[in-house]
Amino acid sequence: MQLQEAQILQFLMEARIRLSAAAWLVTRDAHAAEDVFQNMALKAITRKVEFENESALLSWAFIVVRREGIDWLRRHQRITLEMDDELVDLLNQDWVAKQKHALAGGRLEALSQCLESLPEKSRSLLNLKYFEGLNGSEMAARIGIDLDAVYKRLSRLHQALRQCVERKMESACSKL
Amino acid sequence: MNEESSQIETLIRYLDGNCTPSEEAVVVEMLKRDASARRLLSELCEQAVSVVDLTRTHAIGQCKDTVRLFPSRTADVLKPNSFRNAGGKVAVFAGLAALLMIAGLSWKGLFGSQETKPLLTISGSNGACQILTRFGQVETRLEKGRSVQIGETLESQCSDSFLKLRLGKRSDITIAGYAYLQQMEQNDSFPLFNFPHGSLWAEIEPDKDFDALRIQTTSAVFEFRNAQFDLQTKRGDTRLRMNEGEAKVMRLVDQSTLTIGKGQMVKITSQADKPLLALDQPKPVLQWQFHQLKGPDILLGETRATLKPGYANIQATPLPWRIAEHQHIMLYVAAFSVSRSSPNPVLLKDGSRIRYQFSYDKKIPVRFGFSTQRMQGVFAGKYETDVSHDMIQSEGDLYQVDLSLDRFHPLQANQPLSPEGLEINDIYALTIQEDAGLHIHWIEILPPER
Repeated sequence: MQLQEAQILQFLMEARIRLSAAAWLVTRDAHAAEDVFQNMALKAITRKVEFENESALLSWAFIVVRREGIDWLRRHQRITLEMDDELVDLLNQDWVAKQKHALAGGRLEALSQCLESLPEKSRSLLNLKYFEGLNGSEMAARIGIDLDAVYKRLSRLHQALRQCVERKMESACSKL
Repeated sequence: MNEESSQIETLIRYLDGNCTPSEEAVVVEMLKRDASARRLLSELCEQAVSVVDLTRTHAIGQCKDTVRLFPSRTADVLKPNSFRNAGGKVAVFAGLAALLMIAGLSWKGLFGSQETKPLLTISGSNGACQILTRFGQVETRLEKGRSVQIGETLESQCSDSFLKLRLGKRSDITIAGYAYLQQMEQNDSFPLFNFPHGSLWAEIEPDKDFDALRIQTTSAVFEFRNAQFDLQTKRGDTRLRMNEGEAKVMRLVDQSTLTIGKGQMVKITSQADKPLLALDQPKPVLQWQFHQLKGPDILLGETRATLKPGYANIQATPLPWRIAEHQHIMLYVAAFSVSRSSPNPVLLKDGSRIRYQFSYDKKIPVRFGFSTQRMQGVFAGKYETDVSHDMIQSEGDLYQVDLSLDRFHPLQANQPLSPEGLEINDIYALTIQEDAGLHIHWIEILPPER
């Protein structure tokens, strides 16, 4: 049985962060990643594409997101790091598999809560990197610290977020 | 630093393109064989998009009273983010509608726009410009008079390209440099445009087809009636300068509003750390120096380690440039925003000179150029000149060239012959087809020697 339009939309919205993350990996631009996700979602619901199940839909969606991301780079004449095809396939497989995990939605909710709980200064640093899209050198110039310090601060922040999510997930599991 | 943090740091450097080729190869191999490293990378990507999601949610999700200022369509434009807040738990049909609106479309735009007479038409273009249609096609041949439909995105793609548009019967809009503009709605006589990136100039004079123009950037929404203005936006920072008439302004992050008038300007960021204020436009100056540039003012080019104290080192980056249908050549470009980096407008006068200090490996001709606008006025075109190696002086390790304004020629026939009396916006240097290893270390606009 083919997925209906409403189901397609529901599955895509559940996988939105992962699909946008896959698009970000190609474009390295979070605003573009959202555009790419939207274009893919529009294709899925306005074009004659049929999907038997959620896995088929998501496998298709990750491929389209990659193609759309590359197309966006071409249109905007951006050159980013070329990703190894085999590596991208592995990452996409991981992402599709992750979607099936029972706690996938909870993990994203936890990430959102952890981000909200960060101090303003840490949030500003992440905003410079991902919302404003500055690279390490531009951030170093903006903040007035050296490049190594920028990367160290960012890595500590990402690790702190990761640990915060893990703690929240453990706590959620213990309540089940 | 522990092992995990060090691994994350390596991944961030890798994603930033800040690894050597051999380091890159090691990272790729590690990612291929180690599922836990891939998990770190995928989590890092998810964190990146979640940061942006949260920032947008904070910025726009609070806009419940938008109707106060912009009673008709703006509230609809802001809906998609409240949809995001719901975490996918909203009804599917509401979701579908919201998805379409996130994409900058509407039911009407997608399925019924033929009922609405298009307000916007192309009146001229130069260089690499294109339209992304509502159904994902890319049109690169932009005929004068071509109507722009709701949902279509107009792009000017290169430092020396621009696109001129006619809105209704009497209003003109120009976008230039790397810029894109999308028409989102034109209901209720209030055409609404999304302008996420670039420089825009407009002279707006409403006629029977529309009452006011609305433009939304990533940090603000503006409403213009009889007005002449220029608008610049990049990465959440927006600057509006009003040269004639008035504009209503709403900052998205806190919904604060403001009316700004002739001779005033406003700068808006995605944060509400300062009150929203109308400032008097500063008086023009006759000089500008490279050290005024901040990170986002570097429009094209890669920042490299400084070779000499007090000097920058910006490497020209490759840029495919369309010269005909399906035909591209490669440019290697470094481009900088003078207007954004200077607190004052920088005016070119008789006797002004531009000094470039640079290095390059291949001694091929270098093209130097800049874009201009009329003082408190509209876009005035681009000027360029080619300089061969025999005209360039050597200054220690660097090369230097001083160019007077009469060396530069206008790119378009209808531009003023000389840039004298014009305000400079962006400045750039490039080589054509060959990568000469061009690095820009210093640029200075020198006042007349009197």
